[in-house]
Amino acid sequence: MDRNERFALFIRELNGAAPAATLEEARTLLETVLNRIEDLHSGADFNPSNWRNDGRLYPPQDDREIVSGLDGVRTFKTVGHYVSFAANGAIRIVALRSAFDDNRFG
Amino acid sequence: MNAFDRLEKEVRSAFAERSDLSLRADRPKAPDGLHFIALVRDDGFVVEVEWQRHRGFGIVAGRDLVFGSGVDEVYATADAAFARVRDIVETGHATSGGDALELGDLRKLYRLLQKDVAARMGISKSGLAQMERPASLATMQIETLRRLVASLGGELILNARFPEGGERRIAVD
Repeated sequence: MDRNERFALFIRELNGAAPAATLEEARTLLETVLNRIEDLHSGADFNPSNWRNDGRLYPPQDDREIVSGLDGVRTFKTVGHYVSFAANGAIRIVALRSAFDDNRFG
Repeated sequence: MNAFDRLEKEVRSAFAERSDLSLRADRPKAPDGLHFIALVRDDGFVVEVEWQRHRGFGIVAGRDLVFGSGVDEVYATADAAFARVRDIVETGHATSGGDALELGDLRKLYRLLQKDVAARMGISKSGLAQMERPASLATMQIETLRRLVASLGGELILNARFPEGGERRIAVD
């Protein structure tokens, strides 16, 4: 399975999972689903300290948290995407290209 | 002004007239976290830079960047990162962290000239050109390859990967 296929599977399984009730539960849910898929299908050992591409997809680590500007929301930057966790357990993954409405040069 | 601020300033200045480009910079919640710059072209091509003190600048670029992946290239300085970002934006070539590179392409990736690398190795430019030919790698001694990689500023690492998924590093020195 290539990375795109694994990401698609991750989104399907995340959508099918029982909803989380808190921010911490939401983050744990995302980590659990992604790590399970990668353990099964990536062929790469879990080593989140790898900064360089090792072929595996990782949940966002603490040092990827950015200023969200929203109370009760933690937002993390990962390659090509932003992922936010809300106090009510909601998870929002936004593709980078969708986050560019007001940042144009020229 | 830290190295990330310098890079952001250079990138904003260099591409200020490019109406087909958008830029977004994100700063970390924690002071020691990662800083991010993302450049997106109207055609969907994306260049992302990550910076963290003591790590340097990581770069990944392409049309189809996958959630949770690592960076493909790492640069020590803002100047080197800026040169690479400008090159990627202008050429539209994706980074290729997972793909093997020939030795000559590896040298070019780090913007080094044959004459400079040859001088570092104490060999002639034509000697280096010979070494960079793909066929030469088949008979090259590991020590020679280690010296060549070191002359590019890198470290040669050999890994053995096994079918059950295990991977171990082989001692080179």
